[in-house]
Amino acid sequence: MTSKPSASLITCAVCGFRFDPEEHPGCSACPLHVGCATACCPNCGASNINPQRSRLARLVERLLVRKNNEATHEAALVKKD
Amino acid sequence: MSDCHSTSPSLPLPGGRIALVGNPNVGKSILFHRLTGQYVVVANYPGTTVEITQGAARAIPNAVVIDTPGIVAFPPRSEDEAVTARVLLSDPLQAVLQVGDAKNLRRTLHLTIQLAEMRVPQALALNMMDEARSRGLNPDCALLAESLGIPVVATVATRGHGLEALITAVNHAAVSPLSLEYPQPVEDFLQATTPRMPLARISPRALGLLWLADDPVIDAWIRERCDPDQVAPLEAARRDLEKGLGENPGAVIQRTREAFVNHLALSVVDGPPSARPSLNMRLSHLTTHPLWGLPVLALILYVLYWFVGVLGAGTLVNLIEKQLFGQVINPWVVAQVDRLIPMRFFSDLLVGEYGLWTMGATYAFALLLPVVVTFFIAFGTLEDSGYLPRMAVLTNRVFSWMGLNGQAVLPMVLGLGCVTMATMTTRILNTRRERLLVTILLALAVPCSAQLGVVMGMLAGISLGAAMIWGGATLGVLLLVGWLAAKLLPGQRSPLVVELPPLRLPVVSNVLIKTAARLEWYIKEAVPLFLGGTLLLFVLDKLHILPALIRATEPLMTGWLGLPPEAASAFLLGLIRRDFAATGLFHMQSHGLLSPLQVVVSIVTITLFIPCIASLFMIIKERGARMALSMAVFIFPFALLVGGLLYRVLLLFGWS
Repeated sequence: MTSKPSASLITCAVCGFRFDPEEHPGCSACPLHVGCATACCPNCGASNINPQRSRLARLVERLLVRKNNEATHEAALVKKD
Repeated sequence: MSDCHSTSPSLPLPGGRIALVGNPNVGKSILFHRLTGQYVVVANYPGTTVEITQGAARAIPNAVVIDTPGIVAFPPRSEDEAVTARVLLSDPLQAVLQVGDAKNLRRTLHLTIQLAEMRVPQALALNMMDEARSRGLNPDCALLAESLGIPVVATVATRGHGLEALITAVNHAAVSPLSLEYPQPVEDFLQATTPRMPLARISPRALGLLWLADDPVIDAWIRERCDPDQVAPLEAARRDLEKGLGENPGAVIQRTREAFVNHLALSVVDGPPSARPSLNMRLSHLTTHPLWGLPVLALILYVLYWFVGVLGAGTLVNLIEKQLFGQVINPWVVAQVDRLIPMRFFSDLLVGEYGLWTMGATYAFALLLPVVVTFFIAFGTLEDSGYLPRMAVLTNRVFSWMGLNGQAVLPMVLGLGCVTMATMTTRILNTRRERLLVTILLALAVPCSAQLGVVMGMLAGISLGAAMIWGGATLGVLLLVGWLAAKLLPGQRSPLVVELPPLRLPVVSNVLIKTAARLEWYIKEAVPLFLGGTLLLFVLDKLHILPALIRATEPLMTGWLGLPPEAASAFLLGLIRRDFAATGLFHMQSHGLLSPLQVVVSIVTITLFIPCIASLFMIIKERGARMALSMAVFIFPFALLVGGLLYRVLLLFGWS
């Protein structure tokens, strides 16, 4: 989807299709969908881990984003000097 | 057929219907909201649990827009996709508005020509045009409209660009005159059978093509409307055609469409002309080449073996298990427990031979964690690079030899990540036969990521030759059992239809985030089982059952498999998780208790051992308790049989 930032998209392990795991296209048909941490690929149906349902993944994401932001900020300061 | 009848289920809304149809994730829902506004109705499609959304069109009087579930192509491969097929087949539609991804024109056009063959009034919205242009692609909408004979409009749904032109296009939706010419036997089939097809809202030719492609919705729809004696000749004609073609007619139809779509896409894309294919394209061709693809695969497997086996299971485990846990953490924990808990029973429970800390936690965190982390990083890198679908294409030839091809390859590749999830993924397979065959092979011979990592670590400690023996034995069993099972369960094979994504350089942060998610999932699932398994061994040891079990299984362990009797406790853990057993064997190897021959025999046996508890429950859920029990009853003695035979063969070749 064009409106989604690329970081929220995941790549299907099986077919390589990039999709938003929070859209859950086929979940209503699955009896195990409540509390499920996997996301089924809308292209091939393969179950993939949904990083957005993992606290550890969110923590790593926050750390990486903060590090990136700090690096960008420092680079900007160096440029200013 | 004179007595074929129509009982079309339709949605209870008045006025003309406009169905939004398109591949998943092309911006269909955004366009739907742009066309309808906020008052929409969400309801299950009649007879299904699939929700579809509909609402009155803002700019088209008396029209209702239906947002159908995304579909890759016909035949549908899920209940959601089947609903889209049923809408086209049964609902009276004023127009079909296809929403396509402009930067993925081939995928879009594949669906477009299927809709054109249905002879429904259609219009095409080429969405995400901004992204396509930013990539240097500029599809010529006018030329495409001329080629297809339908209105084609460029849109950017997120910004509302092209909306007015789109509404005009919907009002002028047209039946495409496009007609693809298929190979003569297919054309003969269509000519002979189309007059006998029941009346539908799509053309008889499209019905015939979908029938040939084994479309389950069309199959059910035709059987609902025709007597069995009218369906029988259609089935016979399809069988005859398949026999004549020597392959599934669906594959022939697919190839014809691919050729047409490739030609059309090239002629309408106004991109930079390129004399020779890009490096990405050349690499892509190399990875799927029947001959040159194999050394590429071997190189990737070698890098994986080095990264997980040598670095993860060798260097990192040595640092964490032997130095950190062995020399710092565990001596301190043992001293503290001995000081604080004077009762031997309870201190043993925590830090004894089968202690929750010294065995359960040490196995999980010191031995297995470095291995699974390195494997998850390597697997995530392969996923994001786009190589795994290419591996499926490459191995498809081998799988087709044993009667298993097409989509069946995909869960097998996914099984290298997690067998439990891959078992669930067998739902994507079209026939019960393929679902069953793949489940058997997954349960028998596909090691999960954690097990594979430990196996690589153990093999890295011996030699590359040992790795090749393990790989050869496992692959040999996989092929032999697959071939035999396919012979026992004869049935139709389906072609592999997979869209190859571009090869990409993986983004490090994405790989790390995914690794973290997998790690959390692994810790939540595996660590409690590790602790439970350790507790079981502790209880059995304290009740003097474990020594008795080790003695009782000695003829099997030592006599048949040539292993030390203590390996029985590792195999006992294998009843809970195969990777747990592999970790036990890894521990024995790292303490010099297993010779290279014993390592190879034990890891081949444990690779073919019964799957973990989670996988077994998934098999029970997906295939039924009887089938799960049958598989376990077959796999358990079979793994021991293969292990014992391998031991003797290796002895014959002078291994010791």
